[in-house]
Amino acid sequence: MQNIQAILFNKIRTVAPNPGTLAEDLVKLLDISKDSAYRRLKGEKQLSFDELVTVAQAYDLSLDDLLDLWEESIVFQGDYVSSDDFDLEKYLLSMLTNLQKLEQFDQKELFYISKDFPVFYYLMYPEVSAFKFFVWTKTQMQFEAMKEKKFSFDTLTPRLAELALQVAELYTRIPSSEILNADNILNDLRQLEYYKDTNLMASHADLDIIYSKLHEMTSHMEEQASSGRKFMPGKKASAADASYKLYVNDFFVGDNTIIAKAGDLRLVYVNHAAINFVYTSTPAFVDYNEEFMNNIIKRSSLISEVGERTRSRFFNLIHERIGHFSKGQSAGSY
Amino acid sequence: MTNTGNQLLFFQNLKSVIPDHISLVDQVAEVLHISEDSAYRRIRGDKQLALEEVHTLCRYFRISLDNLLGRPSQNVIFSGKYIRPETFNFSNFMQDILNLLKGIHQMKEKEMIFFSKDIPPYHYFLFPEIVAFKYFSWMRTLLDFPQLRSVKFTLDHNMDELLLMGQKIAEVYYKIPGSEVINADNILTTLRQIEYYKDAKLFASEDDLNRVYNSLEKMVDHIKHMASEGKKFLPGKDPSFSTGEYKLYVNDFYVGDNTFLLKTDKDIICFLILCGTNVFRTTDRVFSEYQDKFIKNIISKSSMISIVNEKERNAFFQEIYDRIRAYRENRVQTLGNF
Repeated sequence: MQNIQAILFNKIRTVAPNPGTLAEDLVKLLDISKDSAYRRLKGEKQLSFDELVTVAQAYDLSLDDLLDLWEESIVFQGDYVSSDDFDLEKYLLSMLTNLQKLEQFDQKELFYISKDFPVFYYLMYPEVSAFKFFVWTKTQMQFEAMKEKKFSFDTLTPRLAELALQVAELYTRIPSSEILNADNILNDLRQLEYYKDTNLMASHADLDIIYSKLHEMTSHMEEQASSGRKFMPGKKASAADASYKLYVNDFFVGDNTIIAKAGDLRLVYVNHAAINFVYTSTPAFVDYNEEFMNNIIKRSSLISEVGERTRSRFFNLIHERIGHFSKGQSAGSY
Repeated sequence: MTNTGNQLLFFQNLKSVIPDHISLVDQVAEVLHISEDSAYRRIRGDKQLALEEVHTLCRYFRISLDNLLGRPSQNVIFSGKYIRPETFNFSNFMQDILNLLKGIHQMKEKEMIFFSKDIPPYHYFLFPEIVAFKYFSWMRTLLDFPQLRSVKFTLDHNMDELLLMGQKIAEVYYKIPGSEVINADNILTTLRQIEYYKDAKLFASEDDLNRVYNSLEKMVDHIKHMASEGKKFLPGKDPSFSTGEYKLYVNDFYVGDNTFLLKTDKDIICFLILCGTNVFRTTDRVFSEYQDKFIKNIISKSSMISIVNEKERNAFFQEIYDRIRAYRENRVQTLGNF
């Protein structure tokens, strides 16, 4: 452990509005003489625990940081989605802001190892967005206000639809590598199955529309993989588009972990409790995740630009799964 | 000036994170290598804590000083060991799990709740062939141990130590009351690992492969048996003597994150399994309570199939058996088998 006292005073000098008056501030804060304050500043006298707490609190400094408590630990940050104040619009806006920050860097890249397909693909299709938003709030987070509601496409407001498309479009501008598995689609298919079984769809026709949009989404992902570029549905790939690498593997379903790299910044986002994310820049954890992801990549097939045969096989497996579920033949098939 | 308010508050909060049956004085004396009397004097505020002592206590009990002293912080601190080929030792890894479970078992009130994307790992421990395969595939494939890069999987080596340790772990786990929230897709993780080894010709023999499948089926049989009794117990033992209540919930709409919660009379500790088999834990109250609430939500939408609901229980396990059979008979199309 480094000298906490020296670290503390150095930090205060960088945050204090008037660092020149530090000794006077200590006199007032700790009720000590000016001479005693100088002895503490010079390290001739040790601060007591109480004094450390008082000073740290006065300058709003984290004691955990000062004591360097977590050199071997991982410090995560993030908000919690709560039914009391959750607002889908704000949630999407925050995704948008994070992507905008990332997009401004010259050098940037996202790595995604997923349990579900990356959420951005769903957001490209308003019908699928509508369903996902509904499931998040009604079934996964169980918001009181959603209790009696059945799903219909009207639940998606024009504002949410617009924001969803903006987020998806911004995602296509950031170079990415994704590690996927054909089972990633199962979560969505099971959600649809659950809504079918519990009679939560206002109309059966809506269900067919969502299945058909999932087929479209899969075909679009295949087009992206084939060109090695990211772009929105309905557009054609061009050399100006961000690059796209797609790896598939048969043996590991990820945790929806994202590694974001932008300039010197490296962050790992960990998904928990449905739609919550926490993130960290703790170097040991970021390194470990990178190594882990590289190891999974080594055992996966690259199917963007190259590997046409495996690519077409992979996307067919997904179309088959959607087909099975849409015809009610899911049980025991996978 | 002698002001020990923060120090008193520190110890008061520290006490609340230590289990009831453990004495604060003993713990402080032990961790700081001081006499009981010296520990008392610090706890009473007669002697000021040195900053190094605060550091040592926080690190030992894995507590955030900011949280303890009420500084609002959004930090959630997780700790855990990274599994690395250079330093990894299987016996130590198993011993750590055993120690953790023994500690939990000593608590007066305890409950373990699993919400997973895989079958909870403790069940594997009793079935040597499948657990041997799981260990091997973790080390060779997920964590890329260099010494295993050109080795095929075989059951020919001696597994006595592995089996014995696994049994000890399962024995303690089965005494701890618990709930598991699973999904028929959870079995896919293991089935796909086996499939990968089949495709990559990494089973030394057909016999090894068959024994692994048989062992997996036996494990599922046992989980089903425990679910029907609502108790956790070792195979062949009388469930009525078991103290480990077993609640099994099935949800067919959300695959978990390999999260498990340990609830005691004092606290909720949340464990996350990340990067394959690395376990990280936090005692952060807000985070753990949030997970608890989330899992409760999922449970409220799930079917309970332990003790009750025989029809649904049978259908659920049948779905798992069907999956195993489909993979076993090479009827599932994968990337590798075309």
